[in-house]
Amino acid sequence: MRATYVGTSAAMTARDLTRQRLVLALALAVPAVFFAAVFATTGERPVPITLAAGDGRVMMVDERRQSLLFIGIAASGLISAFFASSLIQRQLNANRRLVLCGYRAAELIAARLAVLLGIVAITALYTWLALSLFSSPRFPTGVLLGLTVGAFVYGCYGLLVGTLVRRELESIFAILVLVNIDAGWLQNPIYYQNAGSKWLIKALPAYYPSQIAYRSAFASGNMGELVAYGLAYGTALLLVAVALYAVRMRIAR
Amino acid sequence: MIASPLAVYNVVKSYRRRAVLRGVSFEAHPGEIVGIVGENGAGKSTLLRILVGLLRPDSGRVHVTGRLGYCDQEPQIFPDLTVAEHFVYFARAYGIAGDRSWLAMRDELLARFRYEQEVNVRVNELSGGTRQKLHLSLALFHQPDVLILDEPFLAFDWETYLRFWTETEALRDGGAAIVIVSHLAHDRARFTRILELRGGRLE
Repeated sequence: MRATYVGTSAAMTARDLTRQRLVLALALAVPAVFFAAVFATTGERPVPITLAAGDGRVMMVDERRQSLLFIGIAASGLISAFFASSLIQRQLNANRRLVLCGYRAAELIAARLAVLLGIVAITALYTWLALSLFSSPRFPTGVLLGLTVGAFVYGCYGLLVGTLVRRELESIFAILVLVNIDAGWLQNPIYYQNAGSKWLIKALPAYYPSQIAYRSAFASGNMGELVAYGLAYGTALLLVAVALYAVRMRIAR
Repeated sequence: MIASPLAVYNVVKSYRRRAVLRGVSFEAHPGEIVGIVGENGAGKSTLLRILVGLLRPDSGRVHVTGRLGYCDQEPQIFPDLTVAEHFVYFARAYGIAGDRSWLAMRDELLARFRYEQEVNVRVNELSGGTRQKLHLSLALFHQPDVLILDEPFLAFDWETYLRFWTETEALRDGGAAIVIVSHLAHDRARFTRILELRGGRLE
């Protein structure tokens, strides 16, 4: 792995991405629209929730605060996954030409990973700041951590989708379906107490990030294990994505 | 005896049950331009993609010695990057970004193909012909020993087309081995040798 090669590719990838003004505008709009919709349709009544990674007790929390946090994780995951899949799928042939000219596939994906980490940080921070306008969690930095881990895990999922499917429309469906079912429904702690097949909820990408964020907002406790598992989940997706990308970019010489 | 910079041994390639190449062998020597001709669907582009390594043959071998340059029909470039940024990116890829000498080569190519004034323009704002000029320039940028071209001049105007040949012939005179796919009858006089791909074999 040659650092100068990764640096040049990361710089070019970032420039390529930031020049898509409409995409950036939509990325900024998603959390704002999600939060506005939740704000308009929820009240301040107490609702019962159970944290899947907690002690099983039922807590009464503000409906709006809970819903805003829940939708925040979905928004940051969605944005990160879309950007990540686009990083892989955009100009695949031009990138393959770079490999033909001397780049290594590992250097190109390392560059994309560097850009992805930047996207993860910006997405999580922006979502967190927007969330702060409507809600004040018990441990704000813990919520930021949850949003960051969520953006990382879904970013890695986006990279994997980008390597598995060739067309943009297919990857949009693959991302929307999982984010909707996972972050947009099954991780909602309102439903967890009475949910069947709880193993399925715990196996999905948004599980650890959601638990970090909910515990920070409404309870307390050590986050270390949840963060470690969340990062390990994302890294596992990332490793598969890297292996598949290397196969797709392989040159027969 | 000097080994050929490009040697192809008994290459076979099929798409599902359709055999496209049935044992293609040839060599390209330094200082020659080999023309590959054939009907549509004869497998010319498949052969060239195998030569550069973008496709894997079912059997057979390709041996390339030295720096390889490749330019196909469709510009494989980045629409949201500028012309200048492409040269930076490919200088890095070719491993020539260490000193600033690549800038002279870039400026020479921009001048020869007459698109210097568009150096800071993004690709998606360029005409089709200028995109193709950039695509070709990136293949010539590192002064390849083996140059493989798949009808790279289809979007060129007549003057650029003539300049393309001046450039290619200069590279040949410098000792490069060049393989070009072309449908144009008036190109044939410029080839050192012509190989026709017919029924999956070269004749």
